[in-house]
Amino acid sequence: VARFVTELKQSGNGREPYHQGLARGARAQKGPMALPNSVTKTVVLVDDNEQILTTTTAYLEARGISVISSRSALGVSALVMRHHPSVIVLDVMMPALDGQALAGLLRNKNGARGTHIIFYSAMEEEQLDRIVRETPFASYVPKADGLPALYSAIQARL
Amino acid sequence: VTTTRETTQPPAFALARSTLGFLIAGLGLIACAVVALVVDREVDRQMAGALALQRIHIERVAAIENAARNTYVLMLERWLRPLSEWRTRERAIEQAVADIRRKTAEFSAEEALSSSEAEARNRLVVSIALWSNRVQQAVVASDGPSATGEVRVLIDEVQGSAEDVAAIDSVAGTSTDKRVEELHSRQTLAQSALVAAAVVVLGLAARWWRDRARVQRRLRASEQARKEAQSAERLRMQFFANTSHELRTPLVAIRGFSALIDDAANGIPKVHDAAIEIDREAADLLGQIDNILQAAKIGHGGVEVTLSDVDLEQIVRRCVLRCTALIGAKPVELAVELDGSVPRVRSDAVKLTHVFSNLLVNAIKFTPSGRVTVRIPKPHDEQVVVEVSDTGIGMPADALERIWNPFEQADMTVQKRFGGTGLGLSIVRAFLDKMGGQVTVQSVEGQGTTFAVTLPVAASEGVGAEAGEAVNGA
Repeated sequence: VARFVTELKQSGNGREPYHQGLARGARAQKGPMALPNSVTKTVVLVDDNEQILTTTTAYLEARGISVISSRSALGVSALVMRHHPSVIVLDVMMPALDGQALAGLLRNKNGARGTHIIFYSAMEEEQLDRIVRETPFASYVPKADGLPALYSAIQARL
Repeated sequence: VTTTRETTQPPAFALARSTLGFLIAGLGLIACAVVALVVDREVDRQMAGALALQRIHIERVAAIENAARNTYVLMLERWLRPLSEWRTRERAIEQAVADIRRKTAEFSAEEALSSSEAEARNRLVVSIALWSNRVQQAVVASDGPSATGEVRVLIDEVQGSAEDVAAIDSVAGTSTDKRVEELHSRQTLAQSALVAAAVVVLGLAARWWRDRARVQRRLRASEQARKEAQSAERLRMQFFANTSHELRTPLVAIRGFSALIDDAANGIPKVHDAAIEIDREAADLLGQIDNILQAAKIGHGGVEVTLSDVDLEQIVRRCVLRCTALIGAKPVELAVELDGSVPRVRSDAVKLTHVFSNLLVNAIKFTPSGRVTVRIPKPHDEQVVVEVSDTGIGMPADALERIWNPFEQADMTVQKRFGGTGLGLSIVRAFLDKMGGQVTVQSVEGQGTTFAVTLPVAASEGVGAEAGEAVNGA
């Protein structure tokens, strides 16, 4: 996937730094210097599917959104506390800790209590609708709606 | 036969019938017991009366017997002994007196031996008459002096006593023995009825207990079957959820990559067109997977709607955004036309999204070029209509009823040319039926089709958006 993204970048004229978002996200997880969300419009994106994580990150980065991505729900609380994102985008069906449980944990963190959460999942809408009703400050975008729908939802919250 | 009855008869009914039978039998037993008790008390009361009457009779008979003895003793002492001095009749008189003595002794002995008070009484009456006759004959034959008149008076007294006994007998109507016997038979009858009722009640109680056990067994089996069915239903729903997730995920990734390819196309038409086509195909496949899973749910009766006041415009715009990808490279314009503000409607947001997505998917699919419009006129009579119209291939009039059936399309050539599962419109109708909405269709072949969805306006029109609603992408 990384090679595909690199080749894509090389085939284009470099207008959109697709892979930089990934790289920056990875660095941001380790580095201590994170900018406040009011300046960078940061989004934390959590999804266990590598392809979806890659394409979504690249798509959003190409549109000027800083993405902190993670393939696991574990450690996301620390990421959120460190980067203070404007929006948190969570997949629901993930191993170890699912998106709804993670949202519950985040709601108990002082720094993330009011941060809007968008559940971005391939689950059935009925289930997403139920989860959103049980989670304060949350909405959902079905993955079937596509990346433009996710981008619009994030834009509406920035 | 028993098995058939068990399967066709609801357990609650069987138990109720059995319990009712038992209750009726119990009431019958109580009634029998009460009747038997009443009869028994009546028999006791009447028996006491009869025994009292019997005692009176015996006392009276004893009194008569005493009177008769006293009379004969008097006759012997005062008249018969002097008369016996008359030698001519002495033997006859002595014989009569001896007879009287013997009879009296016999009477006493017979009465002591007799178990029947009535027979004793009858014998006494006969004996007294006999004695009276003999004494009378003896006295008359002896031709005694002035004593004859006095003897006659005494004889009359004895006969009067005998008549008293007969009178008592006639007043009693029947013998006390017979009466007691009758009362005994009545008491026995009541006791037999009581025993019979008890046997019937015990039988019914045994049957009730058996039915109860059987019903309990059936209820346990039914509960077990219900739990198994619930477990199977959970597994099925889990299977639906997992399957839909697993089928959608790779297609979502494909759409993501197609978006990246399109971003990188940088004005190269072939790459852009290819990316758009990949996205369109993937989006179409996602829609079809969704329809197959929804149709499977409808088939299993697993569709549940949650009605709330929903933002119709938001849902329509979201569906339009979702379906834009399906246009692909076709020269089709997708537009939304609103006549003023759109009211909120009473519906299920998720199901309504399925409805409009399916109508838009169809409109776009069957419009090779032209325009697809979602139009919402002003609400009328607390109802709002959403028209999804296209300038596509249209349908013949005879197809307009068939299209609502699952797996049916206007005709087979359409399916070959445009693809699709033929499930979309059946899902639309099923969902709208559940939500209290309606859908109608008008179509002219070669000119286009218009689907009109009618929904009830929300009672709380003007209330703010709910937290649980889908994010509007428009």
